[in-house]
Amino acid sequence: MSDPILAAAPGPLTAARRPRRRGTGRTLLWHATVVVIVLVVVYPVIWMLGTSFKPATEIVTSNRPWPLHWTTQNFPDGWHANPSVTFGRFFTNSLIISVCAVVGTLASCSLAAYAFSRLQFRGRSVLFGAMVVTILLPYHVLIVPQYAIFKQFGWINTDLPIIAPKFLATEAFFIFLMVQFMRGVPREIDEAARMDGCGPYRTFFHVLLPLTRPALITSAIFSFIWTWNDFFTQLVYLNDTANFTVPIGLSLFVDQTTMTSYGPMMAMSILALLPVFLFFLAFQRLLVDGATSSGLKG
Amino acid sequence: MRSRARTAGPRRSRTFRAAAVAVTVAASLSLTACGSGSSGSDGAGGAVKLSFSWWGDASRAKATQDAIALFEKANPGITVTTQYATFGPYNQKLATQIAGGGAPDLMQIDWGNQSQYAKSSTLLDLATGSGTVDISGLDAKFVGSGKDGSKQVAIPFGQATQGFVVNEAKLKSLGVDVPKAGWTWDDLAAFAKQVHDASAGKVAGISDPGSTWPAFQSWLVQHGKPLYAPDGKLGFTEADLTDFWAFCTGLRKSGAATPANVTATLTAGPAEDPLAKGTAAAEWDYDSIFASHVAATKDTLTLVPLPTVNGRTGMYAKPSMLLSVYAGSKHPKEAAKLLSFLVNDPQAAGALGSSRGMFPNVEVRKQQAASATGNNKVVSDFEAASATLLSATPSAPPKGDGQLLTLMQRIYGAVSFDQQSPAQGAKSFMQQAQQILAG
Repeated sequence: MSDPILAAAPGPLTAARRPRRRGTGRTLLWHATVVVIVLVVVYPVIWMLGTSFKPATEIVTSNRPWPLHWTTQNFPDGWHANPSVTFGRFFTNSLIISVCAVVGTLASCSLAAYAFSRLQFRGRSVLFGAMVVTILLPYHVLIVPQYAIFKQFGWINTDLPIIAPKFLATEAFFIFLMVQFMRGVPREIDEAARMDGCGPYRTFFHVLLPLTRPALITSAIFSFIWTWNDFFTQLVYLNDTANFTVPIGLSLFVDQTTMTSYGPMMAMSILALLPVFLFFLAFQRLLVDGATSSGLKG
Repeated sequence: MRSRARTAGPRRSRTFRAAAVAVTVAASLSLTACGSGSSGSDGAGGAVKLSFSWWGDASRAKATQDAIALFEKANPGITVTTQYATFGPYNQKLATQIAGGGAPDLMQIDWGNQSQYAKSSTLLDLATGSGTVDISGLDAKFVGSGKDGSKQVAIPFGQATQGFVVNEAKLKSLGVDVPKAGWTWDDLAAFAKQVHDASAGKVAGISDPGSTWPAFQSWLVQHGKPLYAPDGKLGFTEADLTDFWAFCTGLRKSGAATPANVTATLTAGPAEDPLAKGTAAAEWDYDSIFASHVAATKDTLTLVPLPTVNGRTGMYAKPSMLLSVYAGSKHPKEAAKLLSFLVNDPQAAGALGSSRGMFPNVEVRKQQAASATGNNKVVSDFEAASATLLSATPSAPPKGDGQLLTLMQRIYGAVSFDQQSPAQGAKSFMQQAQQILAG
């Protein structure tokens, strides 16, 4: 799990002075350095892309990232690798689970965060502490009791055990993120809303929620990516091949006890990266927009 | 954080108390995981629904589903739902299912987990329990591997035997003869040195077996010692391991075996190990992995039995997988019936082909061997030729066997990079191994 980039609380904007034009030589050197670093970082992805177009014999024998003999056969092979189910089914399942996870996380975590940051109620600090502690619990400690509970519900082999917790604000990390963000929003705005006759709900919907957009976008991006890439939960709860998600589908290509079909696996991995990439692309702009509007004039 | 929530009372003790409460709550939550339940759901009208899970790839899944379709046709009252995943994830999932009380009726288990699951009464006794399996047609020596004490908790499927996978094409081009059955370790050392010299040091004769835990086991059996004593403790002494590692180190230093940095790639699996990369001409492995080795190289490969000590090869029939019935199953009779079908019925053998290795029923296996082609023929010929060389199959390894396997890789890594002498390495191995087995 990589450290997420926390959305910084919006501060007053300092008008950046335009730097003086540097020499062309220095700029070129600077750009060259950055390009080299980017290449190092992106190399595995390039290798993966190249490998997805290699014939099977070439994958294990050549170290070149690009293929000598191009073939597109890996894509249909990977798509139809499993008996009775195509990879498209896995994509559909992953998409359903990920979108539901994003909706659930945003809806439940923002409400919980509002309560923690703005409402006064008994046991608030105890509950807040309890919530933060759940971040520290390793998932493998929770999985067995959770499995037993969901089995009682008869939810095994459905999407429910994966989606339902997201609607119950179990993602403590996102609550914490939003709480910190909401605390940064001046209370004077709440007061003004109350003067104008808003109750706690309207204050939340019309005042606080629009102002915490950067935190919401950040949460949306990360909950989508984490759910899309999550393997263990989906593996444990989904039994039928028809219910499998993309990560489980990809893992079916790698089996130490039999053969590994690298070509189709890389081809499908490339396809699996696309939605995450597009999702990030679509929301990243909003993230930058949101960070620059703090709701305060002047 | 400009406006902090207003709370009464001293801050620190509050937070501390909150954390303490939270920990207690979390702890009590995880204690309520009581695994009582059973798998499978009752269909309406007396129809029985079974669930069956295994690890493997898509081709194994297809073959297994074909076999199950035949079973369902022969038993109209039973429907079987299947689940499969690849080896590592499968075992994680199975452990969770067993702990959470939702294991499948029929499951494929790894020999390394057998004793652990048997001790926790997860596996049905298939000899005297509520569902029984016909094992009269199976090799008794081999079936013994599925026993835990006096209970037959699993039926082995897929016989694997240890040997050397040899790159025939490479040896031909170097002008070195392929070793023959009945060779000794001295012959091996001479052969490996010959390969090294003939290739001007480019190719080692063998991949260094010093980091391979089961290779050490064969070596021990040849010397008349078990890997594990009956009580689950180590069955060998520090001196035995020192001897083995000293022998491997001799090979490595002369160039007959792969150097340390190449040996380390053995863990990458058949697709990327020294044999696939062409840096070694032979490698210790199970014959069940033969097809994967073939897929990873353009050269023709063959199998050679292990070198002997006093006429003993130390090879034995190892189950590459076993089938067990879940003790909490609602339909143990039907699950056992399916298991019986899968290990005995010629129709099942026809559908499964070679996707799970050698078929357990001896008669059916003979028929299969007669019509085998390609890699399967190489393996089944090798099995047939080695049948007389096998020692008795030991009982299932104790819990912790998997950790010892990685411990051996780690410590021999240090030995092969000359950070430790074989004797020092053996000493630290014994200490840590005893801790692992006691824990």
